[in-house]
Amino acid sequence: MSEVVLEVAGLTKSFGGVNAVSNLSFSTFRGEILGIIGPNGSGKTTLFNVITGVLPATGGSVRFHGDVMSGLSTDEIARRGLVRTFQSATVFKQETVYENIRRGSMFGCIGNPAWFFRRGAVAAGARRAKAAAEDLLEFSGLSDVAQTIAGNLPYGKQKMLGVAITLAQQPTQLLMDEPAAGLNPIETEAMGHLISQIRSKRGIDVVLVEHDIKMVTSVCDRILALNYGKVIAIDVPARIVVHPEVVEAYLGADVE
Amino acid sequence: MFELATKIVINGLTSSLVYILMALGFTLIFGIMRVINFAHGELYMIASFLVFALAGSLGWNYYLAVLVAAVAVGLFGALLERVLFRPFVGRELNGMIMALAISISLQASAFILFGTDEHSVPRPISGVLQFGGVIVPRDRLAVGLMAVVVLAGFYVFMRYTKAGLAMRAVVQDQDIASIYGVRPKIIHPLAFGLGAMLAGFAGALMAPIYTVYPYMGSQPMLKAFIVVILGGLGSVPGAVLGGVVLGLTESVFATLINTTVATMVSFVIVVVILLVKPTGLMGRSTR
Amino acid sequence: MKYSLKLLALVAALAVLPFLLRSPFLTHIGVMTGLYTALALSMNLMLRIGQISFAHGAFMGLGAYGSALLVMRLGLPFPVAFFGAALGVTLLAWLVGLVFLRIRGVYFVLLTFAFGEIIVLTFVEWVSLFGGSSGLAGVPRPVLFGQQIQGRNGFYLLALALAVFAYSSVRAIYRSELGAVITSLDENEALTQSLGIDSRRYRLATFCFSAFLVGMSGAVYGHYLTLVTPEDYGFWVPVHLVVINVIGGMAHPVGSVLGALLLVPLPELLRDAKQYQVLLYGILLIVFLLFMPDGLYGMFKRFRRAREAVK
Repeated sequence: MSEVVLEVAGLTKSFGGVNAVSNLSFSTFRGEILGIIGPNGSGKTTLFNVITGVLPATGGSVRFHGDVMSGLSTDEIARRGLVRTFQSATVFKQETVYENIRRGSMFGCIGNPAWFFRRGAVAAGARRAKAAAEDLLEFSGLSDVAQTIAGNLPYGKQKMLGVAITLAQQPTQLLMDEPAAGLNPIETEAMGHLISQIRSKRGIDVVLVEHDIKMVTSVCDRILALNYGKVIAIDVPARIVVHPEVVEAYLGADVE
Repeated sequence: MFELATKIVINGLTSSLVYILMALGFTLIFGIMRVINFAHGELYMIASFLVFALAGSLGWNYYLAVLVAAVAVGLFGALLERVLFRPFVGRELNGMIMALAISISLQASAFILFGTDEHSVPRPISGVLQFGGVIVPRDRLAVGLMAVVVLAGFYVFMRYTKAGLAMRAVVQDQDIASIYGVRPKIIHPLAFGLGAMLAGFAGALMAPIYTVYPYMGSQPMLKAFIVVILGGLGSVPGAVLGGVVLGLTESVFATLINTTVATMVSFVIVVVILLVKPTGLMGRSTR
Repeated sequence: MKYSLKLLALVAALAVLPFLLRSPFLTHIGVMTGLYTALALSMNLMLRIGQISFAHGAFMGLGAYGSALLVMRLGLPFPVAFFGAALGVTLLAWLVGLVFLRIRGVYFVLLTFAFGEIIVLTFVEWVSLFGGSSGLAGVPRPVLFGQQIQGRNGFYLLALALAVFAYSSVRAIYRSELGAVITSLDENEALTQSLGIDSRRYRLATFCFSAFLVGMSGAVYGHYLTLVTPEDYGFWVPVHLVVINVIGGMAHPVGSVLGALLLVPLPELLRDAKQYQVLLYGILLIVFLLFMPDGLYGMFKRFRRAREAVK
């Protein structure tokens, strides 16, 4: 039996009387890629924001490796190894690709402000950051654009860079917010491939919220389907795509 | 006691009306262009000087001078937008610094042209009115009335003309407004010009009440800024509400204690509002 | 190592300058330039996190009043009063920053502006402590290492020391990982936080150090003028500091120095035509904003790059 990584229990989030998420419960296991799908308004984004500490939960809890995450700020959650990516490409636009990834690694070393005054720690961090940058440049296929200013990259590459930056943090689990958003089919496939590699080559678990059903079914081990802030099904892709409630929620969507 | 209260209320209201004129222009410019127009006080000052030049030195009819001064300042405002503010669309802090630069330059220019002397503009109306023991200067009353006329005209413009509708749309949501074909290249100078014109009216109307001198714009600017924070940056009804609240609050504290404390109180209110509800009493969360 | 030697040589040269030139007027300019360099650098820090503080004038005033009062009323020796005042300002910045730094953009500017005005009005209203609109007169000359700093030369060295400290520390911060963190906060706060950085803590630290520099500068200023009046510490101080940074160039701390070197002597040289000087100042700012947004530093950098390309 695999170890439970992320445990969401009875999670509720309401905005002035309207429940965006109601009594949601699910768990993720070590080594798995979980996809979360749902039509617009199903509560995907809210769920994501609550888990990553952007919004406080109204009720219920979120545990990561057994530790309670509810009430922690985004940066605290990130320091525990639960790191998120952003729906729109989020990078340091004025810096080079190399510097972007280097910062991702470096910032992960910083414990508290006193760290800056410890020459040895800073130097060690810098060495590690340099190695991480070189390694991740190759891993995410960005070596050829290492010295390009991030803002000048095509959008698809910027999104890949966004993922690479988070990998530099050495997370144990990656939470991805619509990784395929804004990407063309070729880029989407490349992203899907990268996500598989993240799990198989780096041993990092992934939870992704996504609209692109095709990508989700090809990459994920299990899929969690939401509607109206509630779980309607959680199962392997093959069974999810024929699940009557899921199909109904996605009436008209391409569930090929 | 009643006399004191009435005096406080009347002074408060007449100040409010002028503050509202200043605030409306300021908030319109911010709402549409996201620029903190630090030069707004100088627009007020220029209109005052124009009235001084036209009605005072050249002997024009006062009301004509007011109209000409306000329109001239409005056109000047549109010119400023086109030449100096346009490059800073979307860059709020830089636009603000540009406004400061313009303010500094206009004040210095006024000093060089007119010296430090204070000038007077002859009053168009003199005398006082008596309301059951309370004395109200007629010219203040006239200023109040004319301010109300200008405000009414502004309201009609914003409510019933195409341009006004377009501007309200932009204040609400710039992106959606552009989908409906509202073009910034036309709306921005129009908004700045209109905002400047309102400041121009304020300055022109106040010219005979106090003296005219290059620094005179600083205080009204400050009041406008406080009113707008109170009511909400970008909110037109907020500017009106804020103007009334500020006018009355200041009147209370100034009459009962002193003007310095009154000003301090208004700044404390600003701090509280910005911390608790930065969008002001009536503003909505802007992007 | 090479850089430190160059800096040391420059500082030594600057230090002996007044003794060589023997011009009280030029030395006075030197004092003001030194102080404003430190002040401009403090504003540079705030610009780097994208939060322009218009309370800095009031902070400077608190440093001036604080140090003066600690010496005059409590009889404390200058070094204690000086650091006491500076630390007091820092503490206030910390308290205020806890609440204020959440607010961003123009709202932060307006907030700090209002706060600064409240402080200055307090200087005017609280007559028993601050001396009202006439302020505090007869602020004693500082006594340092047993020597009383009477003449301008002494203050020049003090201002120079302050400027060097400010420049070195700000430069060191920017070149370090701390600088990368601070820059990242303004470049993309959401990303920086998702990388485990507590944005509030670093903004607060920046604000506090900035206030510390301002407090020290204010203290020296007060003792130099021997007169501390509220009108010296209003809204136009931070405006001036922002202008110095815009014209000098915000990207590198040397820009603040360049800006101060250009703009501080100007009013002193154009003493008589004050309004012409102000007009020139305003027009200069407009020109730089429109055509040279990188400031003098940006210009030099492009000039150097163009020269390298030609080689």
